[in-house]
Amino acid sequence: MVNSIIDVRNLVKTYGEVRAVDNVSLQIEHGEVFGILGPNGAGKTTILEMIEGLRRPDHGAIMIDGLSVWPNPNRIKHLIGVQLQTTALMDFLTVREMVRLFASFYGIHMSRVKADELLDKVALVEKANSMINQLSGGQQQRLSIALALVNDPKVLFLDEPTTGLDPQARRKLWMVVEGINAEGKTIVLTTHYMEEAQVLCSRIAIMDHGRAIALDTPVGLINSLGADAKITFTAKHPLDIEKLARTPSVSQVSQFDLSYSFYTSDVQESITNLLGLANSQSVKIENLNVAGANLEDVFLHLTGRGLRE
Amino acid sequence: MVAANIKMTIRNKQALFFLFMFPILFMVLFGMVFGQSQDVAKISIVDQDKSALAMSITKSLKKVEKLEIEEHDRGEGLDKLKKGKVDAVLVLKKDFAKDFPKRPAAIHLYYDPASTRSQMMRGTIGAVLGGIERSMVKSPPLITVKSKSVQSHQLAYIDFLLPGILAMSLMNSGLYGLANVMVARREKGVLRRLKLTPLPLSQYIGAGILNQLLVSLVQAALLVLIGHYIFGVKIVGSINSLVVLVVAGSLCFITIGFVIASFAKTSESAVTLGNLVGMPMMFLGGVFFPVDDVPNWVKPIVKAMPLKYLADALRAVMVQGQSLSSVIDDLVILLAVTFAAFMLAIKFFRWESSNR
Ligand SMILES: Nc1ncnc2c1ncn2[C@@H]1O[C@H](COP(=O)(O)OP(=O)(O)OP(=O)(O)O)[C@@H](O)[C@H]1O
Ligand SMILES: [Mg+2]
Repeated sequence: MVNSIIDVRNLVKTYGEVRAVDNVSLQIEHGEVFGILGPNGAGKTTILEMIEGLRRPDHGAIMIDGLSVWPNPNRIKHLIGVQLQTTALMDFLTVREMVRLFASFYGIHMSRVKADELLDKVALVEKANSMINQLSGGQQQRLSIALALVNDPKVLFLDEPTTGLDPQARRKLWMVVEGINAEGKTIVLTTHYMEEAQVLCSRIAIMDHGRAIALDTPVGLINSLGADAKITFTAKHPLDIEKLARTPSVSQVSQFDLSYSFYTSDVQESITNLLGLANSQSVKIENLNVAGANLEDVFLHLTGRGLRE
Repeated sequence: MVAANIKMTIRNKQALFFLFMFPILFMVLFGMVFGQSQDVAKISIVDQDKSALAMSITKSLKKVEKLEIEEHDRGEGLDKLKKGKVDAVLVLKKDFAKDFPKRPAAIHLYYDPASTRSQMMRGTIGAVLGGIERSMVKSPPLITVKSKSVQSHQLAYIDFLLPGILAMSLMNSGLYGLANVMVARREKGVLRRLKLTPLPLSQYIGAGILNQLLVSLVQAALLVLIGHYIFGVKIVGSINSLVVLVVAGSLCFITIGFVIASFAKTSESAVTLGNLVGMPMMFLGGVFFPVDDVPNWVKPIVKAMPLKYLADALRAVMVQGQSLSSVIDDLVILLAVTFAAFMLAIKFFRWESSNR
């Protein structure tokens, strides 16, 4: 961990009784797209904004590129670019004017050409002359990413960049993020969409109730389940699956009424066994579904709850 | 930032409309209601002395244009004053000038403090009599009143009103303009976003103040032009002095607006606080009527109002043609208030609407 661009140690933040962030440590490496995945209220925004220097931690240390963020966050302002969870901008300026205005806050005089180059990176050049308040949700998110890039930062923070966007706008934003990462910038993003984390992130921290309950690559996290797939089905009558549950390849069997689900590391063996059981008990099986395991399953496995409930 | 601010201001057509229309509407409205038939003041003279001096005073007053003189007995005159038929009553008591000019002649002037016109008349008549007295001291037998010394153009209410409205609109755009924008931006989280950039607070605030100042200057120029060309207000003072006062007054209220923005949590409370500060000043700050004769217990309140000093100073310079040095007291008070408000604003300004 000599080279971590972001080094977070034992971070704690409490609001009254709520431990919003509860002793979290993270190391984020150069060039990563690091994801913080978790349900509403998990503490994603709180941890991000402490790293950005917007909220003061109760305990813990944060270093960005070797500089300590606290007690003086001014020192790291030039290193980072930030998109907050809620984008709020001044009205009555055009997209291009806004970009140039933000550049001027960093003491940078940005030419029109340079501004348009930047807007091109976030697929927004054709809107350069539009007024801010006429942008769609996805366009506004992309503009706020452009604004986060005006100072050519080393690290880009994106707090739920795609929440509330339709699938098409979301995909477009993913491409933008990938493009920025390809330039070598480190990106830290939060999301509660597991597909987003899976597609974009090199590593993911899963958060719940202020704690980082898992941290690995997407593949590593899924492998940690020890299962290739999740099998779900419903039965016409109650089925005794005790025997199936005892096979080593099967884990996490659950039953709700006549709906059953379990994970398996050997799909073929499990299906054969399942059909054998059903035949021997003369129970008809319906809606048999085999799905590759994903991060949602990891979260479910770790907490017993879904990501969105 | 400054250029961006100006663009934002100009493009906000709706706000711009109100910004400039409001004071102008006020001006037009008050001008029409009170501005007419103001030219001639009616004065009742009660001459109980009937001496040569008394008669000559009456005679010379009658010669003053824009003064309409009637002669009554005392009861009749006061009755007419109460009913608003005349604007003032002058009583020349028997032997009022017995030892004149060794001792000043005692002329009693009755006016109605409830009537703006009557109040203004008091000053005018004072000036007229002063003129008479002066001319009498010079050459006792001959009483002449030079219309020049009467300054009759000061009579019109609109002349009184224009500097008042100007002061008021400077106050309003100062109190509400920037404060509202700031609070709204804080509520929306724009300020929070700006906090992430290295832009110093002082620069952001400075740009806001500069923009507001420009708006106020344009507003002032418009008002003065309309007052002059449409309502015929004679601007006798120097334009440079006027600009100095407008800038000082504007700065004063903008900084007070900043204090409001620092304390108000929501846009609504910013407006409420603004009203709390602005409304009393609007009515007691000498905008619509003179406040020299308010009841004694109100006087300290009036004295604490920056608007009064601005209105007084503007009036003195604009329509009485006085120099800046003669209103230096008002100017110093405005600057002192600005400084105090600035310190408060710096101390209490917040980027975020809640603690994180
Ligand atoms: N300013 C605050 N004052 C009090 N409590 C707060 C504050 N900010 C956050 N919290 C609490 O801290 C916890 C974590 O909040 P946080 O906003 O970090 O969650 P999140 O993971 O970003 O959620 P979301 O997905 O909804 O954005 C929540 O229980 C929240 O109620
Ligand atoms: Mg959040």
